[in-house]
Formats: sequence, C-alpha cells, structure tokens
Amino acid sequence: MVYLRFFERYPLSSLAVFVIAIPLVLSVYRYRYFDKSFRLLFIFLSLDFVVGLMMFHLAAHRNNNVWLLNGYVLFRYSLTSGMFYYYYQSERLKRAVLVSIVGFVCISLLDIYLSNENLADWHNHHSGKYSQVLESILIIFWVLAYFYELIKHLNIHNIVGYPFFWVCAGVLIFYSTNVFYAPFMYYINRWENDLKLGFMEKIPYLFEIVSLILFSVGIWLTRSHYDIAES
Amino acid sequence: MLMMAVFVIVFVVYYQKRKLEQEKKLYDIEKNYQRMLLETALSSEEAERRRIAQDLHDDIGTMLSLTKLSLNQLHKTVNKEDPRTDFTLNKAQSLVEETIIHVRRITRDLVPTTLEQFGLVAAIDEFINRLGDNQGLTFHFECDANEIPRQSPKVELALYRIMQELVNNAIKHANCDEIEIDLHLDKGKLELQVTDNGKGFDAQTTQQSGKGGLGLRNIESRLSVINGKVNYQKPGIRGARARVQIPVDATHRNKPEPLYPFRKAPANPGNR
Repeated sequence: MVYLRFFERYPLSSLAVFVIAIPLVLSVYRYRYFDKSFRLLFIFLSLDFVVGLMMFHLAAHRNNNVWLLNGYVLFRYSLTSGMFYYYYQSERLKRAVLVSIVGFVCISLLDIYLSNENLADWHNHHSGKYSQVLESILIIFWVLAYFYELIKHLNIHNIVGYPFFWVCAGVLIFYSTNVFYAPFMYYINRWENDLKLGFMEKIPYLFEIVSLILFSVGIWLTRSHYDIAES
Repeated sequence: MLMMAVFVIVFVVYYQKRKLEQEKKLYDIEKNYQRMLLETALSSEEAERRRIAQDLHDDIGTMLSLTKLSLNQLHKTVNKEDPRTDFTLNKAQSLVEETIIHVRRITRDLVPTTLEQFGLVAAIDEFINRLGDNQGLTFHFECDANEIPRQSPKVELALYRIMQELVNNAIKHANCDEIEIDLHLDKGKLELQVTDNGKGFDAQTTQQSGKGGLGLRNIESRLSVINGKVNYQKPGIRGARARVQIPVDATHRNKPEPLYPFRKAPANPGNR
C-alpha cells in the first residue's frame, strides 16, 4: 500500500525505475551478442534497477535515499565512461577515460564530504553539489568525442542500425537534461527549506525513460548487427 | 541543451550518411577512371598488335614473297649442273617458305581475324587446332555453338585472350598432356572453363608471390573491364580448372563490326 501510494504521488519518477526492466530483460535475452561495452551496460542497468528499487523503497517509507544516489553516481560514471573506453579508437581518449574515472571518484568523494556537514547523519544526508554536474559534462564530452571518431573514420555504414549509436543517443539525452537539473539537486533533495521547481523536477525522469527506450533499441539491434567498427 | 543533444544526434546521422555517399561516389569515380585507363591500355595493346601484324603482313610478307619469287627465277637461270649451287638454292627457298609460314602464324596470333569474322567459338577452335598440331597435346573443346550468342568485339577479344593466357599457362607451367576447354551459357552468364590434368597450382599463392602472377593479373585486368570474374579450382587430385564468367550482353546477337580497320586508314577523302 505504501508503495502504491508513493507511485500515485510520484508516477513519473516511479515509472522511471520500472522502465529499467525493459532494457534489462532485453539484455538478458541478447546477452550472448554483447561485447565488453554492452556487458558494462548490462551491469549498469542491473545496478540502476537495484538502486532504483532500493530508493523507491526508502522514499516510499519516507527515509532519506540520497546517500544511495551519491554512492551510485560513482559507479554510474565509471560504467558509462567504461563503455566508451572499449569503443574509442584513439589511445589518448582511452587513457583520458581511465584517468577521468580515477579523478571523478576522488572529486565525488570529496564533494560528498564537503556537501555534508555531518556524514554520520544519514537522515539529513545531502547530494553532492558538483559531482553530478561534472559527471554530466564529462559524459557529454565522451559522447561527442565518440561521435567525432565515428564521423572521422566512417567505419559504420548503417549508423541507424548500429547498436552503440542508440546507446550514445540515450546517454546524451539523459545527461543533457541532467547537466541543468543536477546543480539544483542539492537544494531540491532536502527535508527542510527545499527548492520547488514544479514540473521542471519531472523533466529528468521523463528523459530518463526516453533514454532507457533508446538503450532498449540499441540492445535489440545487437543481434542483427554485423557492422563492427574496426579498432 | 536537450535540443542541442537531439540536434547532435540528427546531425551525426545526416552527416555520416552524406559523407558515406560522397565517399562512395568518389570511389565509383576512381574505379571508373581506373577501368577507363585499363581499357585504354588494352585498346592500345591491341592497336599495337594490329600495327605489328599489319607491318609483318604488308611489308615483311610482301618482301618474303618477292624473295621467294626471285629465288624461283634464279633457280631456273643458274647452272643446275653444279650440285652445291642447286643445294644452296633449294635450302634458301625452303628457308624463305618456312619464314613465310612463321610470319603468317605470328600475324594470326597477333590479330585473331577468325574471331572478328566468325566469332569466339571458331577462333577457339582454330587456336586449339593450331596448338594441337605442334605441341603433342590433346585438346577437347566442348561448346554448343548455336547457343552462344555473339558478344561485343571487346568482350569476345577479352575472352579469347584470357583463353589464350590460360592455355599457354597450362602448357608452360602445368606439365600436362590434356587440356579441356568448355564454353557454355550458365544462368544468363557466359562461362569459359579451361581444365588441365597437370600438376595444379594455388592461385592465391601464385598471385601473392609475384613470380608467375603476371598472367593471372592480366586475366583479372581484362575481366574487370568486361565485368567478369574468375575463380580457380582443383578438379581432382591432379590438374587445375579456371572458371571465367561474364554477363551475356543481349545486344550483340548479330555479327559485330570489325575490331579495328585492318587496312591502313585512307588519307582525308576531301584531299583526294
């Protein structure tokens, strides 16, 4: 009942959690066609689903779930950028991705520490002020760099039938929304004196659903895809 | 930002497609250009062969005939009682006759006039008859002449030269005593098969080694001009088979025009 009530109050954010099941089920179905990047996507979706359910559970019981999000951001960035690591042809970009993962984890941990006066106070735990903005900027950069490589090398003949293109499209759409929403998260997700953005708060969930659908398209296409980029 | 993201995605799809189309066009242009160059080179080669054949026939041939005539006359006038003179004259006459035969054969090899006049089947037939006499080889030629339509001179000449190359290769390298030539129509394609019972060869290795791959490369060059393809097989424990396929051109069912005017082009008629 608690869950249903929460679903009625926050339909879009709740739906975003359950929509993850679509690409996840498809991933299980198509797993044998997956390369390393898509296996990382599978881990990402699994983690996203578990974290989403846990957050849903905590939110339904009116408990703070921001600490879960803070922790999840570290894995989300590592897994998402890791997907690009395997698709890049440039060694410099590959190295940059690895360095960025290490750097991002350090900065995020520092950000979480600085954004919370008392880390032991789980009830009033706040989201990091800058980590998600930084994550969004970095991921957008990796997507654009990948698109640049795609155009430069012209290895893919049918880009619309290329699975990773759809994943990139989903990632780009999600983080393009997130990059503007993330700065306000610190002020929105708090018990007292929280910032009200109205419908604007729902937009990221809407585009999260869109991005999950795009992931599903990419995952579905892995079977019929033979257009492997030469690396 | 979201609009920009959508724009970027659409742009990547559009730009990639456009660039691929451009690359394809460029590739086609380059391919056509290469083909044109090859065609020109082959035409020049044929023209040169024709010129040499013409010179041999018109100049050397005529001179040799006159020499033979002169020797005949000389034979009548010289002192026949001297056996040495008679022997020398007879020897000179037979040498000249032999040379005339050689010149005729070279001329025929250079310009296959039978091909122009009677088509591929007759030309192949003539070619193997000529070879069979000299080489001590057994030739089998299988084809249904009524089924094979006449092709454009370019195609017929290319096929003839390819057949020549394949047979010569078999004689030179295969150490065979039997060669089978099969010309037939197969699913709208004209197929030429040359099979020998020699030691066989690996086409890929030969082409890569660059030692004896020139002939095979020539075959491929000629085929690229007429949209044909070749593959090499091993018909049994011994021997090799080359299968050449070209699309049948339905527009040339009648007797084609001669390849090139055999006689020298007349001077500008207006100046006569």
